[in-house]
Amino acid sequence: MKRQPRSLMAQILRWHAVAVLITAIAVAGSVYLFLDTTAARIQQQTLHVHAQALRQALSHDGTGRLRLTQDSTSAAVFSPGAGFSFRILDRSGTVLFQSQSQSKMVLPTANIPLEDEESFFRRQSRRTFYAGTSYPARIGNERVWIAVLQNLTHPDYILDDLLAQFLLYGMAIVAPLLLLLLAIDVLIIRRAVLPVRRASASLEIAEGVPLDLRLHDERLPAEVRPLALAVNAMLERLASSYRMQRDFTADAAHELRTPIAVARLRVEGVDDPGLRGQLRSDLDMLGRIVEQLLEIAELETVGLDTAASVDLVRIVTDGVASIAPLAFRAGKSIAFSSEADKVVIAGHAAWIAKALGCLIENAVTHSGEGHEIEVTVGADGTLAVCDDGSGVPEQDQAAIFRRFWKRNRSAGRSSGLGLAIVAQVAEAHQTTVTLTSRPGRTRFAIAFRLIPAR
Amino acid sequence: MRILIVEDHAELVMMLVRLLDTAGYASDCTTTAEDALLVLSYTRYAVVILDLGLPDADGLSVVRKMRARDDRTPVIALTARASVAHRVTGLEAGADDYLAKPFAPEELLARIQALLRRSGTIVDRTIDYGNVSFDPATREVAIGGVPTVLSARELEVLAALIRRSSRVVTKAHLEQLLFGLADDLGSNAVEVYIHRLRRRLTLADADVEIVTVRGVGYMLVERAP
Repeated sequence: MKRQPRSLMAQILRWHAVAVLITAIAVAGSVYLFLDTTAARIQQQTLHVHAQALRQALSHDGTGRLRLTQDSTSAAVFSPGAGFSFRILDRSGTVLFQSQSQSKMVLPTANIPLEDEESFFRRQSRRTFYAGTSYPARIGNERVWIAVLQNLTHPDYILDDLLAQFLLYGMAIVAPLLLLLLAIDVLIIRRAVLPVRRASASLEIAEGVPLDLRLHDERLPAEVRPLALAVNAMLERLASSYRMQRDFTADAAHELRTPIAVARLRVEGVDDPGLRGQLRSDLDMLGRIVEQLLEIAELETVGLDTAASVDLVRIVTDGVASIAPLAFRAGKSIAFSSEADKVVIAGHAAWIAKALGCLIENAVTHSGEGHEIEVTVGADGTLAVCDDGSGVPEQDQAAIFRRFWKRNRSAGRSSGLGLAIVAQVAEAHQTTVTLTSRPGRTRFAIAFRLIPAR
Repeated sequence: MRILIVEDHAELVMMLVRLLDTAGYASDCTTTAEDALLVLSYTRYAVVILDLGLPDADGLSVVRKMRARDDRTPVIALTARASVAHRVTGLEAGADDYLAKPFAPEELLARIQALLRRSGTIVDRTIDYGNVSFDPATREVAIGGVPTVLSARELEVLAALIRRSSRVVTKAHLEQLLFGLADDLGSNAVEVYIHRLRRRLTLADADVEIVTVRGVGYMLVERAP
């Protein structure tokens, strides 16, 4: 399977979209991280303040036992149903005091770290999340750990919700902005690529390659310009070498015509009638090749005007009439039939007549002795020439339209150019020659473009 | 009857002079357009054979200048550039006929004959084909030397065929000829008269026959011996 070449635009947009996506994720991630850190610090401060307040409330009573005297603020903070709770533990982890809301607190005491420094922690117990601090304190010579816990799932805890809200709104603003950027980039890239597109479009041609084909290189980006210039230089060289070769063909043919004409006249002075006849036919053959070479050169040079409305029946009637004597002399008969009295097509009359002449000549050469060559014009604008010769083998059917192609290279009586001319005339009329052949029936057909009667 | 050859290729000129001489025409030659125009201004020629690739000017300019000074001498343009496009410009410039090099000598002679006939320089006594002869002036036909009487329409058809012997006369052309004589003819009139003419030719032992080119027309050819 061949991979379709991807357009520059599509590639840029693809990677750009990926980049935008990554940016969006990175922005969201870093904002989240920043907010989360800030929130955690605020939370730790709160826990620390509460722990300190509890530390202030701890004292030894007269008997040397620890006593907790909570003020009203502290009592409110740790009231049942509030989000905070505390436990005061000794070194062995025994609970010395705990808040009344403790009944709802199910975090096992073992989960609370008892370290020399104050440590903050997060824990999960069942479905509840806690943030907490374990604050070591020394009362007299007794070490206690004041653990303050905050229930994060408690409705009073709104920091998480804030964070989520903030992210949501943030993304709602950032995402459209990024998309807008993407859209603007599309416009910018389109603008930048436009000259390249135009250059490419200037190479887009319906058929054939005109010799004056050049890349449209105005306003091309600096990166592409050398490429365009190189291509244009190459096209120029190609065109000039092509022109040179074509002109050579035409010039050579022209130069040959006068000497052949002289020879043709000189032959009349040959006494031996047999030799004279042979030389005549050789020179006529030579003249024919030269003529057809020129015709091919002309077909290649001149853009045929094939738009004129012409009556195919009339062209073919005249064409058959003019070549019938040749067929007759070769012992063949020729017949013409048309499905309509008048078939108007778009075409170049003189060249259609030439192509017809070549087809009939070909049929005369290849049909069986004494048989009929059939020329038909269909009401749909199809011109066909049929003969009953041995036919064209399947493997040769494409090759016979090539110049100088001959089935038997030594067979001398054909220039090998006739069918090439036919093919070129058909091409000039934006159509092709259809060949169907089996021994006993060979049909060459050209479907011209019908001009409907008004 | 003099013919002017305007051609710069010496050998071709030589061969042309010889050819025309054997055909009974005297000829003069010039090799440049300038000389040609000069010669044409003081000598009348029956036909000019003009090469279009002259060293000093395009042959067509000679034709244009001739026509501009109202010189109606028939011109056969000879050219090595026998393209379809050139042919059209050649005829537009005022050449009467156009012949591509190389050409068969008999073709050139036939064209000269045709031009002379057209310009009224020669009037044919009779047109002979095979053993059939037709006199356009008296409209008499003889087959094998024996005068043969044909009906007016048969004669019209035969005249058309013999004037274009071994070339095709289209059915449309024959129809026009016949309908010009009368308009009470059936749609198969041409076939009818061709049929009658064929019978006459066979009966009179003519060595020519009428060949049908189906869908196109008819052609008078010499019977194979």
